[in-house]
Amino acid sequence: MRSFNGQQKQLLVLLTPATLFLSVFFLGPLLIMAVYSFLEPGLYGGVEWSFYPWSYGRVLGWADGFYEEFDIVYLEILLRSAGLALATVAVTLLLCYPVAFWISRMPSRWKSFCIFMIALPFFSSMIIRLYAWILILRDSGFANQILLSLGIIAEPLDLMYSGTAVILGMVYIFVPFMFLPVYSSVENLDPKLIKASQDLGATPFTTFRRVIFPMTLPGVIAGSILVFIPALGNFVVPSMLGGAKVVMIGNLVEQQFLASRNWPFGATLSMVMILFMLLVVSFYLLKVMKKQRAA
Amino acid sequence: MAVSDPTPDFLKIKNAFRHFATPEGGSVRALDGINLNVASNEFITLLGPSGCGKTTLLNIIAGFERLDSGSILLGGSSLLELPAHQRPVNTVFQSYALFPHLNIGDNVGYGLDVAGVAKKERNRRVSESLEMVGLSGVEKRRPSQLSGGQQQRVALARAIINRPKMLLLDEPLSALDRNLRSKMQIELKNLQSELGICFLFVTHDQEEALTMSDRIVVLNGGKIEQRGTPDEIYHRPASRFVTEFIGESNIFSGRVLESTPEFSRIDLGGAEVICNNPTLSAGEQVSLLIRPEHFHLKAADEPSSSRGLNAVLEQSVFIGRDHQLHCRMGNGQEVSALIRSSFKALQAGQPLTLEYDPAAWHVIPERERVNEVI
Repeated sequence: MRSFNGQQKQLLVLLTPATLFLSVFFLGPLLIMAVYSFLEPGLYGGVEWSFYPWSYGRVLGWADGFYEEFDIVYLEILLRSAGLALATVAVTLLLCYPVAFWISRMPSRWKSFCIFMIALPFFSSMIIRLYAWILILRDSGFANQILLSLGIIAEPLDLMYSGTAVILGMVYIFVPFMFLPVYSSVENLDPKLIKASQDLGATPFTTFRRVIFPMTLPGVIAGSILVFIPALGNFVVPSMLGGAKVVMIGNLVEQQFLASRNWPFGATLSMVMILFMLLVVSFYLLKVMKKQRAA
Repeated sequence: MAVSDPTPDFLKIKNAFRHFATPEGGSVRALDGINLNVASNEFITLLGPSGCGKTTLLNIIAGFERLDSGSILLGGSSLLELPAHQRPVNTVFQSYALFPHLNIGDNVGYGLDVAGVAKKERNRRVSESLEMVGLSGVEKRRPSQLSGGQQQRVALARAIINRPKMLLLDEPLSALDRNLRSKMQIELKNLQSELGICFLFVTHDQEEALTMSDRIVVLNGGKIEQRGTPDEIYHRPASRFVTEFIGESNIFSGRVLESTPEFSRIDLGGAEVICNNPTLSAGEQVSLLIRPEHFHLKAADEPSSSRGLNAVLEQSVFIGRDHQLHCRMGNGQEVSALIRSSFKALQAGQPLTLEYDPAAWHVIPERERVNEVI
């Protein structure tokens, strides 16, 4: 057996707990789901141990109706979920970028205060915060009452149970995930580079396009991925604010496991979602890296 | 690049005031009534300790900071109304501020790229600019792959590519080691004469200022203490502040005993000196300055003269070509002298006569010390 030197031993000691934890509690369940997705559904939940590719056929198109039937609706739901997740990424980015800039230019004690304020919602339960949004958005909620009393609208608006409500809720939940990486890259940007760009004749817009944005891109990428992935699989926000109207892929998976008791199909949907996410994210990263190298 | 005829008052700064609020609620005067004219082909240095206002003045000319009141004209038209990106001046920053995400060619070409200069012309000027700073063929490298001195040259090439009417340099050599710094000083001076444009150089390093400048402006507490050629600043400092800031010197306080058109006799309190400064009146209080290198050691067998200070050697430090002598005069005052090293060793405690040329003394009437802000 080869012997380890001091530094390698140290590394071994430091990395073993994390590796063990992740293999047991992350890789393990993932493997179970991967295996289950190819098994036959049991009659009252659980699985029968025989190879059964028809769950995938139901989603991707080769089920012929003998065991299962192909239905395009699952792919539609996946794409719609991706659309909502992308919208969430776009809105959080537009909200966070200017705020991050503004806070990074503040005196340092105000900075810490503002970052604390942004993290503050995490101190309470997400369910409670989403109930608060129901109180705001429902027909007799605060938003409608204010608009009605100001005379801006005559009838209460249908704010709840819509895609808009879901995006609002998701943006609210995921803002800190976008803010923190964007903030750290903006904070690390040397103000002298902005001065240098101006000095060389670049307008503020050109400076943003050629210096500020490329330099803060790593933070934007990190934030986008941190928001996109959990937003795509999220089922709490759509089930509370979207109701039955907005079914996302996360709700579908939840239903298969808890209501329909079709574990293999739930596992299949999860695997398809994971593969889809990997594809989107790696495509995005490849594209961004290529652009960065070209610039 | 063609060198045009110089304009004497190319940059005109008039009554420039700027103050900053301190975190404690106070206010600091960064610029306290600055008036300055600079010729279009001049290498001018703003010299002073940190906080004297030199960087503030540079930032205001570049357009990164505003003026409370006053005016700045460049080539006859006001600079203050223009945003930074429209001003015909470029800056070399202290830490270079090269764009880390761009290669050297794109860093240098940045000013042309944002101006929309055609690719062919742009590439030609990028290599021309890099050639001028003696750094050809590095276009494809990244700033992080270059040494400090090379990054400095890239920053220079980037700043001159837009053909500014004036180049602002904010302590650009402070991060370089001593040898490279002296080399760059000469190159900067050559580049300035080659371009024939005005260089406004900011530094706190008096040696650097003396080496490169056509003219030095000494700033202190937001005010101009003195302006003049390096020679004037060094040999005829206008105030005690300038004296203490530029070079090493012996400063004494004294009282004028006698003043004739040819010479003055001044009492230092127990010692007397003769100097050629005829504009004094008897009884006046003055500051006297003499540089350590203006003393000579008198051999013991030579007849004593009245043009010497008697002192006892306390310490002799060998600094290469010269010996630095720390002596004490009979009245207790310290005096230092720089003497060419010789084989004859000097002993601590040995009495010496430090001879001087009466013309070497520089006398500043005490009334000018009112201006001092320390």
